[in-house]
Amino acid sequence: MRWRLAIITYIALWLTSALAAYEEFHELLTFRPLSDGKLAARFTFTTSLNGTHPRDPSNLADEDQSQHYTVFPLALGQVLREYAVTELHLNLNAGKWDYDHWGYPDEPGVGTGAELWAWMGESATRSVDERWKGLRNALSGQFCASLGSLDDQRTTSPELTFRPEGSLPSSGGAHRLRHGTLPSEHVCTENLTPFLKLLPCKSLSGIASLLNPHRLFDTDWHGLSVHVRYLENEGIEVRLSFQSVFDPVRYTGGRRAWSLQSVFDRVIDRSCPVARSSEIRVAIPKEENNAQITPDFHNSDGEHAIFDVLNASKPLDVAMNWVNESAFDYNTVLSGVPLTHISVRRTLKGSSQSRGRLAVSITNNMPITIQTSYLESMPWLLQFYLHTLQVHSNGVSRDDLVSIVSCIPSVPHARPTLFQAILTLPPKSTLDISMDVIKPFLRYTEHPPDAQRGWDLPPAVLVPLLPANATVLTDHPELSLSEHKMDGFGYPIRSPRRMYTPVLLVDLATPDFSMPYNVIIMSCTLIALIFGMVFNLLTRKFTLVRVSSEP
Amino acid sequence: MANALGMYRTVKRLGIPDSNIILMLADDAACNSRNKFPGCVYPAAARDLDLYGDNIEVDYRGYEVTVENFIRVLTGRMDSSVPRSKRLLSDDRSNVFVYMTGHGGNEFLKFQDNEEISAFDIADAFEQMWQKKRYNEIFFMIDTCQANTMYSKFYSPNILATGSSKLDENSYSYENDMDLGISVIDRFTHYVLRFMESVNKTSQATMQDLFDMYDPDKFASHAGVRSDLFNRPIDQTLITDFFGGVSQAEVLAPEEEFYYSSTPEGGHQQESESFTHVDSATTSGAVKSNNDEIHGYSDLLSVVQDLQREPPKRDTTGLFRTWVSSGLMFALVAWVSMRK
Amino acid sequence: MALVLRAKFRRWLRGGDDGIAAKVRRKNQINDIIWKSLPSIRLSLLVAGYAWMLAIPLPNLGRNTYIDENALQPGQVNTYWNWPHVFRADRYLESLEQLRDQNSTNAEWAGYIKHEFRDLGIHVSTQSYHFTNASGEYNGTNVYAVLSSPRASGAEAMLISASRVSLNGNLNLRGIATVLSLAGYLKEYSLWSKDLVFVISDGYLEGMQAFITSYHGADEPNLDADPLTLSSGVIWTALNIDYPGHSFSHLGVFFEGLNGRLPNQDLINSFRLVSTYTGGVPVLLYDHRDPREVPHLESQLSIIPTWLPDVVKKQDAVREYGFRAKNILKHVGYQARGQTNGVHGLLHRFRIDAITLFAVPSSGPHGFHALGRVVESTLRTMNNLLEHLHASFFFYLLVKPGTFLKIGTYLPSVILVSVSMMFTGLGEWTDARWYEDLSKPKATDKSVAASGGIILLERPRPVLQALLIMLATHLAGVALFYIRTSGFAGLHPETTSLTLCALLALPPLFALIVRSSPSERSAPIASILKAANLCLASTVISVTSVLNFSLAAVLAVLLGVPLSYSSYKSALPAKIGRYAIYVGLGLGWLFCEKEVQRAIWNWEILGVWFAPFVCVVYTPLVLQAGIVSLLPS
Repeated sequence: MRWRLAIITYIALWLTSALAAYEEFHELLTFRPLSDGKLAARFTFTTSLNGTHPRDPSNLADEDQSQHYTVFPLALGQVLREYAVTELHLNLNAGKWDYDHWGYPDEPGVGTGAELWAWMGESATRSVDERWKGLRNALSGQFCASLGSLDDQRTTSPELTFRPEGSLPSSGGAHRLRHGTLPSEHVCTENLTPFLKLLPCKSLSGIASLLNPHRLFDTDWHGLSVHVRYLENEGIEVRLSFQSVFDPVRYTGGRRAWSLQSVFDRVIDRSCPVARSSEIRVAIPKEENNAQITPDFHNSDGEHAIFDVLNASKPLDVAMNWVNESAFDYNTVLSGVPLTHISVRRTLKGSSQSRGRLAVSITNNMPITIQTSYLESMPWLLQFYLHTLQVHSNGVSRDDLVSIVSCIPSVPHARPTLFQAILTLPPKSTLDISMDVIKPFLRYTEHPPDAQRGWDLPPAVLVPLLPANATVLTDHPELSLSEHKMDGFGYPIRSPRRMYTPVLLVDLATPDFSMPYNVIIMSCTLIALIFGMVFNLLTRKFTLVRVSSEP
Repeated sequence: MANALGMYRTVKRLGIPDSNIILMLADDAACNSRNKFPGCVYPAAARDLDLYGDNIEVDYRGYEVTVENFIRVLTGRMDSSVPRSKRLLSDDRSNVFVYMTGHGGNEFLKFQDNEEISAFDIADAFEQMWQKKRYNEIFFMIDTCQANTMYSKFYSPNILATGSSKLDENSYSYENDMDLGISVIDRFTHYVLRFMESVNKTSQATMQDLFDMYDPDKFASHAGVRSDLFNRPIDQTLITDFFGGVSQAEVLAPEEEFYYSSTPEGGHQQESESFTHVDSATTSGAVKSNNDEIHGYSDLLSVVQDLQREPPKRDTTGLFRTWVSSGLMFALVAWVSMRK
Repeated sequence: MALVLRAKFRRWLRGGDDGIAAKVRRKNQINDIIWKSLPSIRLSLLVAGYAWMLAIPLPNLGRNTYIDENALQPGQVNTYWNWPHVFRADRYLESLEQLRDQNSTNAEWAGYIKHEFRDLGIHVSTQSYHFTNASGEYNGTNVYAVLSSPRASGAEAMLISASRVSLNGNLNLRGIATVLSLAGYLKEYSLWSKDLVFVISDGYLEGMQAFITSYHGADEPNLDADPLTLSSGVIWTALNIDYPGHSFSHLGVFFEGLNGRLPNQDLINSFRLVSTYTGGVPVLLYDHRDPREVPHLESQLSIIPTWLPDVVKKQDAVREYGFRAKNILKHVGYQARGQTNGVHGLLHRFRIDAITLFAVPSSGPHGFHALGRVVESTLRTMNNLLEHLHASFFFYLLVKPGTFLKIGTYLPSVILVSVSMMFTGLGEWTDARWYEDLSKPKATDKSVAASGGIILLERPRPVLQALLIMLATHLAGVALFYIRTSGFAGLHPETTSLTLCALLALPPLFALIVRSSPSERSAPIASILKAANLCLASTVISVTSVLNFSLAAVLAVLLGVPLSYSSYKSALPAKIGRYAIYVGLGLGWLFCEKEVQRAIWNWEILGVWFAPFVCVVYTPLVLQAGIVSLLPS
């Protein structure tokens, strides 16, 4: 009898939990000490709406079903349904990600500024472009960012580089990608505020309470991102994430020890009651055995120390210390090998205001040949002369290493350039690509208010692809080029390792809008007039010409 | 920029939600990498009050701050895809507060570095608003050089205007922060803010009290007031008619308490006074706590009671007059407060 | 009476009864006045121009400098550079002195500096370079480090540099130590909006030239340099630190760049304010101290001639004039030759505003402490910039720190001289067209009487011959340039100079045997040549005046009078005498061996246009005037 009761209770419990699993909220904070003494922290808030589908774009004309959520962010849900967006990614970042010393980021979208891309199904009622415009404006209002200016002059569809991270529903029409970047957009408290409002516990409890804007925006790199994707058989998942790179050495004056208190100026006092799981994971450095993590952890997956915030004693302050290290020694790290498969540098050569040369040098750090896709999505402020494309590998011209997949030239005042190519990188060598570019003249009204600053150009994006020789891959698992790992809740994170180059600043020919130049022009005109008169008088001599036959 | 943020803080403190405030900031001073104190904007070199706080929503920022957008916000002529948060959703029962600051001159105010709005533009925009029944009353405040010239061209009814300095006068900055290397706030706004800190939602302070506070010696300029278009006596016009969201109690859903509690209201000395006042107004003694959440709640309580005790003295009798004051604020160029 | 006069005047204005004829008559009258007074007009213009030049240093000219770009906000910040950082700089200095005493190689220097940067946690790399020119080879290794500023995108950068050799020839050890210590100190802040690029360049100028041209991908024919492995964004401003002595009393600012480019004046002004008010260090232009401050050195420093009576010499206005004049002369000396006196000058061509802070060696009282604070505060100021320094603050003439002349107050001096030359040339050109008809009887016509009763007849002008002569001289100038910069000339400078001088000076003497044209029906070549020569010289001067005022001023002084008063109407001995003077003026520089070598080095390594300009423009212009004086009338 007892066991029957137990079974019934168990089944009842299981049923309730299964019903409650309709919406789930998970939160996770991971720390990763970096090789140069810095500390990468990533907050991930995952809300999943199980058993649902994105809105079918073909029904856009019909009245939408009503929306009721408990933990799923309603404000975002409304936008997604209004514009029938299948997959959406928004990144707002500040700083420059140092791939060589920090390795691949946990969230791949680390390009400076704002980046928005979405996959949307085609619809007869409202075209993809129309909905893209609406989506931009809606998100711009939602997140207090200038996303509305991601207009046609900045929108491209680089389908080679930005594959869907979830699945695209088979019903409905073909899906289209829209992608735009705003490299000069910054991220600040006004973006974090609406971000926090999307969370069920706001910033009141749980790990979200650590999101202290005064500390986060002082980090070397920081960015917030919103990812929406649809997973077949599971449902819609919204992942809000905040990633930052702290520099404990700067705060402490030489040491790299850190704690929640020291980096966020806060500790966790309460856990978020609606969270299904709430964890803090700290990566355990492999080479160094003097690293010490407090409080003691009982749970570990081998690579990380795992703290369960729901059950831990509060206030929780996770700390990490390196025993017997009085000052961090940079000398050993900075001379080390880069942590990524390839290293990329992109520069704009030449100081003239009419033309220049775009130079990209890509170093393959691996002992095998690898391929990488290369994307330039360039506003028409820089126009490529594709015929001047030169490819050198270690000083030797090698045109065979580049195969251009597509190139859509720009249209001034209307459309950006889209340049996609596949590059083959010989082992342990550097590939130098360079191309002449011209800088067009802008219309008077097209100059930004601070015209003399120049224009920020979006980053190039590279995605290292699987090497042709797959057997090498099994021998060296660290060479794996895309990350297929579980994120702790059983969801696979299928994020390819995109690499963003730093942004560039291009100096276009700018009229001097200042007063003194007007004065100079004015006085030059006057001088020219006076000179003309005098010249006229001096080069002519009036003499008397006798007319022979007088009337 | 601290000028506009100070006003933003005041109207928000007095109970107007972000959805009713349109904040335009051309500068990213808070998170600009030049800021030594990231995420903070201070109105004084003492750095005891952070105007940016943890909870702010900027509706127009950076290059979006243009004369065109400003006029569009006022007149409501927007593209259909512009979200609600970027619109001024007002009607003929709304009181609108417009605050502008930046570099200015005789009958103009500079926007960014390349354009300016003239006094005629604003006057026409207000007239259009009146015709389209987009406001009941407007309170216009401007802090710039020769600010009083900016409201000299108004001709629409029910506008009360004030400015920091008269023709051929500069507005001066209050003080410099030697760690940031910039002047942090202008004199006029500084003293107005100081006055506002003593005002709470139940305050009976009137516009006349505000204008009486004006002191040319302290401002180093002659602040002006224009009330000929305004058809109520200004000594009977409450500050909270424009700065306070008195009707808040009606529209708040219970969920909003959380939101409220996250506003950075506690902990400032000047405010504690106002809170004790609130406490005495409530019948329950349970609110005597320093907890932020309860503070926020006590605010709401006091508002409800306040309204119940004092019947509204508006012309439309028998009804709660919805005084949804909409603050419309505009800020420009914060780095330099040296005026020419 | 007045009414009558007015009516008369009106009628005169209207042209009397016969409108058109009167108008023509009046025009003729004006013309005649101008023509008659042309010699005096051009002379007065010339005199006015030269007088204006002399007036430039006057104490009542010039105005106080001000900050044009409001965003700069110089000197408005607290500085936190303090004794611990000075102590670190002292440690660096000790190690650097050891390197010096051990006669370390370039690679060892670079290795040490690289190690120190890496210890600070800043990405660092080295660049080896190799210059070859006629006179030798230059090798070296630069060390550069890029401090990526937190929070910023890395699209903009500021450059802080120190060259290993100071501009006074000593080793710039303290400059390097300052940069190293600053790098460690500045890293503690997260408020930089631009990346900080630190460059310790080898040699004096050549190291930075190798670095900056590689940075911008500019091709340099003589240079073989490693590509850079670290990159940053667009460099906006740069500070070069030059601290050769033990301690310093003043900070001198050096600002002239290659080919006479100047940095935006806001940079100099900001630095001056910061140095004076934040650092408490007085600022000098160059290393030129005010003689009035150091009475015991007054005789050395002052340029006021000693033979002047004390009454004049001790006048404050005179001393002020002398002080300003010496500043201006130094400026002209640097700018006219297009040469730079510090690493900063190499950066201007890439649109980088740069200056050198020169710690004027002295026995005190300032050291690392003051310099660090000044640099820190100046960097904060430059950090405030939201856009390039752009207002037209590139035209200025600094007469002393804190006082400058606007373009309108100095440019006309040169323009006046140039206008005078243009008038002379045009007058000569018009004159050559007419000759006096002596055969016909004098006319009695009214209008003819107005022009002196002389009948003028038109004649052809031999333009082609004159232009060919000019072309030949310029071609000779090109040849002169190539020969003088060749390897042979580098080995035997004196022989080459003599030969060249002879080769260029002798052929024009053939002009002596040219017969004068038999009749007056054709204008003399000499007059056409003189006209063309003057017009060309005038154009060169006025065009140069906005590009490089100092060069234009020097040209105006050297060419103004000699070219205007070249004459072909003299006897043979006088002709030869005149010609000798022109040859001396045009080719005499060949024997200033040191100057020539420096100009050639500047051209070959740094690309300074002064040497080719002198050979191809200046010398031919003077030779043309010489040929004018040789040709028959």
